[in-house]
Amino acid sequence: MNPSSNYQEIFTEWMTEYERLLRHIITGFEAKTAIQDELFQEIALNIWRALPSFRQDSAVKTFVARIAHNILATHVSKAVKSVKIDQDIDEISQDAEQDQTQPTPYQSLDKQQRQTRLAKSIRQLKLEQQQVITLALEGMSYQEIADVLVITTNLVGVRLQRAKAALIKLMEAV
Amino acid sequence: MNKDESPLNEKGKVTLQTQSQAEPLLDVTTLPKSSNIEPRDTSVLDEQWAEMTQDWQSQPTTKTDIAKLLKQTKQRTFWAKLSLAVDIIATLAILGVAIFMWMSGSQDKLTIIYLGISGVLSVVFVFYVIKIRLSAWKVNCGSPDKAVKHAIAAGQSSLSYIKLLKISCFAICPFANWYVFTMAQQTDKSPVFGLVLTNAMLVTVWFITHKFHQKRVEELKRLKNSL
Repeated sequence: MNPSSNYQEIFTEWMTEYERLLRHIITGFEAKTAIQDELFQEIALNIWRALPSFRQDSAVKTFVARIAHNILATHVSKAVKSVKIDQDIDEISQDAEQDQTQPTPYQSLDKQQRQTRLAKSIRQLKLEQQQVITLALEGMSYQEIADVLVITTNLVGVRLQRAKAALIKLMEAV
Repeated sequence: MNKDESPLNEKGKVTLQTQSQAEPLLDVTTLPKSSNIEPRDTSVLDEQWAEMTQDWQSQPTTKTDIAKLLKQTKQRTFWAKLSLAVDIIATLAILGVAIFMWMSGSQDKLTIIYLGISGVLSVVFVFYVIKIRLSAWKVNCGSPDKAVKHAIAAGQSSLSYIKLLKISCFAICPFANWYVFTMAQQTDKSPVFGLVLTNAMLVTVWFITHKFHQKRVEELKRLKNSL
């Protein structure tokens, strides 16, 4: 089998397996469907280009997610922000503190509304928080997140804690 | 323990003997001075987090035609490679023809000079194209934590290329006009059409490049602001 047809097989296999993961991650960075599709194609193109340099010592999931995060980090930084999110997260939810026994506003929504609100809130986080939270929500371990972002597991822990706190406050504040 | 024996009396040198001694001391030194964050029940947070994870993972996604995606991806890669190959081949061809004409003692000095200068400029352009592509590659394969820094570097290379293209439009302008005018004189034809066409092309290239210049400057500004 020549390398080209081998790459085609691998690419098809990877894209089939990680399509959902990539689509989910993209949702955490971009709201518009048309741009989401463009980003998906851009990520696919870069995975295809990077295929020959893939080394077996790293996990495919990590490799694919790292390429996606590189594209998305650049996209987010280049994009014009329609809403400036400079507010201190602590200030947003002064009214959000509530009785822990009552269902939170998030819990009282239906599933589709919750998913929409979750994605919207994630897009309001800082870039470094968006990065860790989208990977953690996909069920990745600290080590896997650290491998994707090329940072230490300790730093993943710190960023994830802050990101979770900020996310929960944002979800409750809306 | 009396006051003098307290380990806290020795500045910068705290020796902790046991776990029970360590805990109260560490609690005191690591506590924030003020906090308006109410401590929450971790089980509630865990429950909320579990719900979010479940919601996130069960998000509906559009199904992609992977065969079509593969075809599109291969096409895009092919055109990108072809474009670079054409740039390199054209540069080599221009330089090759100029050298050949010069070595074979051609009398058409005008064309030799024109091709020679065009070839040298083309080498500089190809160098920048390769540099920009390598920078873009670095962005995609490096650490996402440094993606913005790499993107800034790539954007700056792209900006240098654009500036060079704009400057070369001005640099080429008198030279191209001179070439067209002299060639028209040698063939006893009116130079007007050739001059209009050459200048219109240069102005079009300059305006298109200028639009890209403005776009890249904006992008770079946003990238720098996001750091």
